[in-house]
Amino acid sequence: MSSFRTAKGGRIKRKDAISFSFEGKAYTGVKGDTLASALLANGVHFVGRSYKYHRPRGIMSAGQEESSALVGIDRGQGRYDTNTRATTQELFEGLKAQSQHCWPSLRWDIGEMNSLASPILSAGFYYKTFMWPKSFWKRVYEPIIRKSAGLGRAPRAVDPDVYASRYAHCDVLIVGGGPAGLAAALAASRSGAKVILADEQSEIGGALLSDPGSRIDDEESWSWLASAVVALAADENVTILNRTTAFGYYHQNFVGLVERLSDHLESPSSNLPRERLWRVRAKRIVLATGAIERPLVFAGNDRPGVMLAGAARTYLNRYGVRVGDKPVVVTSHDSAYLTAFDMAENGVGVEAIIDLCTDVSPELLKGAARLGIEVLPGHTITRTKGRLRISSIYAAPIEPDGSVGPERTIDCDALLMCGGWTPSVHLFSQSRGTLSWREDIGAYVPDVYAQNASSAGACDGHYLLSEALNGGAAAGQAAAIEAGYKAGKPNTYEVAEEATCSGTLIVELPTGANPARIKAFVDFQHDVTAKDIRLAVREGFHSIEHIKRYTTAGMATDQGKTSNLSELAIASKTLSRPIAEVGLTTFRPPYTPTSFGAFAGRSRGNLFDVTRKSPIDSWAEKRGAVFEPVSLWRRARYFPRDNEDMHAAVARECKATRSSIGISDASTLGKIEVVGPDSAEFLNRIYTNAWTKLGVGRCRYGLMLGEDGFIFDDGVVGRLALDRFHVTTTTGGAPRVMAHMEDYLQTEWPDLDLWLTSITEQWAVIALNGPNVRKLIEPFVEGIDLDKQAFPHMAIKEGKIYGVPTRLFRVSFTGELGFEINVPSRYGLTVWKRLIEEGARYDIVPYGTEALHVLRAEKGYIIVGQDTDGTQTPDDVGMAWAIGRNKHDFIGKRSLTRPDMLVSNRKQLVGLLTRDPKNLLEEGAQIVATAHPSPPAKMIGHVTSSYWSETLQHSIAMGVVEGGRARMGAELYVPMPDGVHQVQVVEPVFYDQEGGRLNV
Amino acid sequence: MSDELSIIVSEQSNPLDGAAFAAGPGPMLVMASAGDCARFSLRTAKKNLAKATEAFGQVIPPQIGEMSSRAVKTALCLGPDEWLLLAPESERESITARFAKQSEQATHSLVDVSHRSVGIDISGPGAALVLNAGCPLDLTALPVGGCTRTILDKAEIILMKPGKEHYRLEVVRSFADFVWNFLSSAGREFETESG
Amino acid sequence: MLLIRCPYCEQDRAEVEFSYAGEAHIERPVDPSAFSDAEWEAFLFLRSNPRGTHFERWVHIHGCARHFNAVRDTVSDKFLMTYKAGKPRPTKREIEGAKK
Repeated sequence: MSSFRTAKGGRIKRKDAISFSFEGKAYTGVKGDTLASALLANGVHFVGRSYKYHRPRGIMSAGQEESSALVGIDRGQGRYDTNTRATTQELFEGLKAQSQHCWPSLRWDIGEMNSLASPILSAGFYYKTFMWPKSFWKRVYEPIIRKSAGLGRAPRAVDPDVYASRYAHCDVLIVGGGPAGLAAALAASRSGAKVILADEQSEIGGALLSDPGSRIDDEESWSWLASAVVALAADENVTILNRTTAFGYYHQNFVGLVERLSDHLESPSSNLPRERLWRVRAKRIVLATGAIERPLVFAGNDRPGVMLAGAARTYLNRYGVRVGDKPVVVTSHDSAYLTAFDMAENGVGVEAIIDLCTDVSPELLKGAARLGIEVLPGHTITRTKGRLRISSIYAAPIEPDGSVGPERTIDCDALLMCGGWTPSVHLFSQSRGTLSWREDIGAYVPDVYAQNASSAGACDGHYLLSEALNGGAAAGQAAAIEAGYKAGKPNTYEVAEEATCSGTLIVELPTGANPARIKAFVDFQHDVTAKDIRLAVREGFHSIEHIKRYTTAGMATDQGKTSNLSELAIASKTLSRPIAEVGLTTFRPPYTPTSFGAFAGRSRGNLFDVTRKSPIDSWAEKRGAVFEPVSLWRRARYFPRDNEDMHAAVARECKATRSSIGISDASTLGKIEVVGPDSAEFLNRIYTNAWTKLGVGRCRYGLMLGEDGFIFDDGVVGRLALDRFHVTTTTGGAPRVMAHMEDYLQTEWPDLDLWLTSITEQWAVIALNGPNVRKLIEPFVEGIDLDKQAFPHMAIKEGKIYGVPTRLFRVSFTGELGFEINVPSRYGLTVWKRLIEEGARYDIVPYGTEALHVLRAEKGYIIVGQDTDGTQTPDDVGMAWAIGRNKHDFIGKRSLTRPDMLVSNRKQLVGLLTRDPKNLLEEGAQIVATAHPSPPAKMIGHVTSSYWSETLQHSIAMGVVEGGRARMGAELYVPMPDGVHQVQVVEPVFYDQEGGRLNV
Repeated sequence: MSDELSIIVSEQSNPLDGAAFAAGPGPMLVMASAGDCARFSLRTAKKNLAKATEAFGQVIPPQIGEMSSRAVKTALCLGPDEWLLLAPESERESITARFAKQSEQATHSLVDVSHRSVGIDISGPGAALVLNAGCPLDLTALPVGGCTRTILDKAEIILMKPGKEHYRLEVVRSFADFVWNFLSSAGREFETESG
Repeated sequence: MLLIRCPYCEQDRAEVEFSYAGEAHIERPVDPSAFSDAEWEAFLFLRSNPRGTHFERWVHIHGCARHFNAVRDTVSDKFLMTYKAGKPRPTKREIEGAKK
């Protein structure tokens, strides 16, 4: 294959050869190439097939706006990226790329016949074609659509890469490192402002990289560029981020950037993140995002070899690649002449410049004549030829009446088109700025700013190099001043012999053919043609947002960067309404496709979420505990011995606790220290219970409601001193209880004199339950008389255990004699280990949350959040006794007398016993009144807790049932997958109803 | 019993006991878990600060974000009526006793939270970058000698800035592993040459 | 991500340090038992949900831990001003003044 590399020039390193493969075939490129430039240097234009019609497609652009040359890049080890633009993928040694949307091969693709079926694949074909017959959906349509739908193929392996993130703050963020952005950065940084300059390309320079011929202040542009970059890099207040895309512009100058760190490397270090997400907050932003060249719309404008004229110039000047040896240029804008001239000066025989405009500037005509290029002013292209590569075009004069004259064939190997330029206003629009239509340049430009930003250069509709430089410098200076710096007058730049740069907005080319019979592509990635847009309008879609969604124009991964304006212009013409009235579709982040990895950052594996572990967790882990998550905590669920399953382990743990001693880690319980003279009054208002008369050294079970009257949390509260309480909450409820209490204290009762301090993690809590507990701990406790009278059930006292300070509670959640030993967290593990050692003589057994649940259910103690779901009042769960009757007010009290709280058929907590003691109900199962109700069955309640009780040798359950307490003794039914189970309604206390075991 | 006491007291366990990390040339970043100390959460009205200063034995600053640090004691103002006091373990009981004596004249809440959190020292030219991997603050705007409660990725932290390139953070015990792993994961970025 | 000015810290801080806490200036009655069912229902459930200026409660939960009030425009999502808990609802003029 002949080489299309020029003899000299470009920014590539010609001596550094790089081997790569495309579609399994080996090629060679050089350092500095993109995949696209390397393929073009090898004469390869045909790189993929289109999404819908599977038409052969080439490389259309030289940047991120690429809509056709999308490839899969495989770096091995799960590193597979789909829909990668060949035009931005930097070449590295060993790069492997595959084309997409073709089967069995790129050259011979079966889907190409879609092209023949195109009459049924018109706009809205999904909505029309698959409507009937209904039975076809599952067996025929869906499998076909699934196979052919989607752009590219998703990777299957776990992404092995690391993704980093960083918050950053700066005075001036400049987006775009072209001439405008560089001049802005130079001006802003001179003031001492902290500047971030971000550019998506591998190299800073933007349009200058394609334009070595211009002279800035009598200096060659590339030499000027080099000194500008050196000056900025040397300034410690300037951060230059290349390979970095500003993808989203959010509130208050908050901008998301993705920096690509390793995609261009052959073998990146394993510590090097693949990408870094920057969350930048800037005082002022300068948008210098440039403009994107527009394609023209005509029959066969999508053949491989058809390319944007500016892209061809970039390949020539930046990469030293001729995209063809006999190109034709077709344009409605002067800028394409620069491509033709540069190519001709590099020895390429440009066949013709077909200019849609009639009055071409004399300078351009003179330039073309000098280089021997034929110019056809006032001409159009009616069609093109060539299956896998363009081979000829048909040009014809546009007659004064708009009709098309006789065709003439011109052979070519590339067609370079230019329909003018579209300013990149994506970020500006995301910032909620409003645009205005400029008829003179045929483009939307920024109008009213919603945030502290300005635009400079092509993105503001100023296409000349001098305008970009001077506009950028002024914007940079102004930004620094607005950010609070003193900035002197900005530089003014002079550009020698600047060519004019104007054009006419002609999107769809005049043609002699029936426009309804030709495929003139508007959106190359989604295969939307001009006639699709006209069809949508004819079918009644008149809003541009509807036309977009119906045709899917602009909805592919390129988000219509090259097609939005063409779509708009065609719609405007069809609707006979000016473009400014038709309006634009909304720009939304991200500007270019952004990896999920970048958004996820480090939030994966052990950093996906916090796993809170108690001070005793490491012991449980060594002991082989099975854990379960409880809010962010992990708690030991059970401690299996040998090959025990959960059932066996839990039965053993329960039995040991009831017969001797069980030990469990309750450190995760929420704890709040309430201190101050008004503490008791505060608790009176927060809990349903009364606290004023609670004696020092005593505890009480407290029930907390929301203002709506429903149970919010519960826990034991101990009084350490007249003005000091130790409050406990549920594990999961701790943060919300603290927030709830702080809220009332700060905003409703700021007059109360007390403070709340979270002490959840100050104390490790070891719960000991069982008849032998007192005997076990008595020898090691100092300063607390554990005698039954001196330290009764529901008492708290400070003392020492094993020489360590403790807050010892006598409480029980199992119905057995129980103590909760609070020790400062760092002592928790040691005290636990000592208790296990000393407890060996009593066959002490550690138990987890599962046994805890069984033991408490045997006693009918509720778990807030399991037996309640935010719709239960104290009375609903049989805890009306917890309401301080003489209290004037507490949170939720007034709601308890709302009419619907007083009805008799409220769901009430009851016990449920299955007829067959071995039957275990499912938690969550519905409860009905008759065995075989006719549907729809009335569900009168559901099972909230259900366990096997080893102690009772009977399954036990609790549930909420409408008017449940009035149904004591009644038979109800619980339908489950294995049949309908009969249950009897009983009191929800299954064991030791008298409570004798507690008070020993 | 006194023998027993000494055995126990020497057997404390902290999530980050002895943890240390360094990365990058220089190194760019050094992290180490800070030693144990006494910690108190002090809540009181600003008018009582003179009394509190007396009890603590060091100035307790009045403005949110201020930190007074001298020799071995540090007082951080975290909220309009909230301070975190750090002191050597050996002074825990005397500080508690001095505050207790004042409770009549100056109502306050002093709660021992010595075991609630652990400290991490972070220093080096990369310290701010590593923190900014998950902390949204502009750390250049946090003055030397400043402090604040804030967020580090999914964890709440108290951040102190004792020196230009030196930070100390406090994190509650059960979040300490997460914070350490997060920071060291971010710190490994210094172990690479990009480009 | 929004920046929110905490009136206690007197700093603009990142939204992630804050939590929203519902509509502001809904005072809990001193004596709820004196409220009729309808009045209590209104207190519990009925909120203004305006398009435009909204008075709301925020808490600098991962900062100074204080509750405060804010005026936010529900159309633009912009905070117009913030003020300490307990301060009266700002007047139109005060809000206009804060915008500048």
